Amino acid sequence: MKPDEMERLLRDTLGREVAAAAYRLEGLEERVISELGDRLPRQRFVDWLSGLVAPTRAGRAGQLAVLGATAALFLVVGSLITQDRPLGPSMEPSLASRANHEILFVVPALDAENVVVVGDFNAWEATPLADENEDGIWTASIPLPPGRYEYAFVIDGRWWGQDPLADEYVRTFGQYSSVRYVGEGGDGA
Amino acid sequence: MTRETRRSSQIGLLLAILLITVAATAQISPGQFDYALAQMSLASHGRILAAFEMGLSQPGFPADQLMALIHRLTPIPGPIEEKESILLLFTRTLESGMPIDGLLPTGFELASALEEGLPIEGILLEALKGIAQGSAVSTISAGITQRLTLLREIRDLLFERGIFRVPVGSAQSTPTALPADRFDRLVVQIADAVSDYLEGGGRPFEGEEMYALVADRLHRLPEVVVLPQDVSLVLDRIAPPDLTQVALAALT
Repeated sequence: MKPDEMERLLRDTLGREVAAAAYRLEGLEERVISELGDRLPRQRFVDWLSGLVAPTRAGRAGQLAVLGATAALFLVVGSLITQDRPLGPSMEPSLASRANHEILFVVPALDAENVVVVGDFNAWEATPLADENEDGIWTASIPLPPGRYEYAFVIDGRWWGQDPLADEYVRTFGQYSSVRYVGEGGDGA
Repeated sequence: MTRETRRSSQIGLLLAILLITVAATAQISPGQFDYALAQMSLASHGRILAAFEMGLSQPGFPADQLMALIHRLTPIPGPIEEKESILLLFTRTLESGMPIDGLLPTGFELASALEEGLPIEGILLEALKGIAQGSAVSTISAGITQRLTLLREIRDLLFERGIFRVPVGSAQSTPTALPADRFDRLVVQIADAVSDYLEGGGRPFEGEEMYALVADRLHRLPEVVVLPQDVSLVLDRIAPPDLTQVALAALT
């Protein structure tokens, strides 16, 4: 078979495969966005706070005055308490910057039975992802200290190393892995 | 020779053969592994022992060499985690149903690197990745050897360029004398970037590209991993041809 025939055959076969599975991709983007949206902090506290604000302008001015006086009182008392006291170790910036970041791993895997993430943060042993609402979007949130992390998803035993949310990819031992930078120097969080 | 003498010599010969056979087939017992591992106080003692016990039941299992590796690792000073990771390499290989024979020379190479004080944690993770991917043991071994060579070459390159490694906590006599942990992190990240470049299909003569990859990775890392002043120091003192040299050393 000539190379151009082979290429045409491959293209046709792939086209048929994609067309056959296209219905499953309908609304996939919306589902992923919705899944991510569910994970964002909710605005309920703001709603609750807005309910406490007085309805009239005069009432709001009064509330503001009381709040200002209270804040001033706390500032004075606070400065008296902490006078001449050095920062404790827990306040050191270097330690604060080592704090863990919650990193969300998301992968669409329709009809999958088992999805895990493996990476250098878990010594390449499985951490399971969950698809609680069974919409085919699997997620796991893993706390990680700042650094560079390589990882891959394993979907029903198959290596899946090119996460679209990754900062970069590496290929070792013939297979791709994804990379996320976590912390102030990176994009991962 | 009398009949009695002949019979005595036959019995003697039989006993000798029996003795040699018993000695040759003498297996290291699970109890011996248990005792040897206990000397290291490993967090994964049970898991490692279970895998080695499973190995003992297989024909041709290189128990004596594995025991020699444990004895080699035990007295090496330094954190237990890296020694444990070396043994976990064998554990995971056995758990995934692969033979460990081809990995044993690599185990001894890693032990030598530990004795040398090389920071091998990243290489061990790379090997665990290979096992997770189901890569062939020979591929993993070759990858480890290449990465170990690069680690040594990069360390020596920094020494050559006047960047030194001093014990953590000691006074910094010159700005180019870095505490051991900071020096090691630089070496690991540079070696890792060059390794990734080569394993990803890059060629050693593409020094500019390798340098760009190294610079990009170092700049993207958070400060808790590498300090910006250390990144500037090292990028000022190494050049693309240096990376070509280290890459060639790793591939030859």
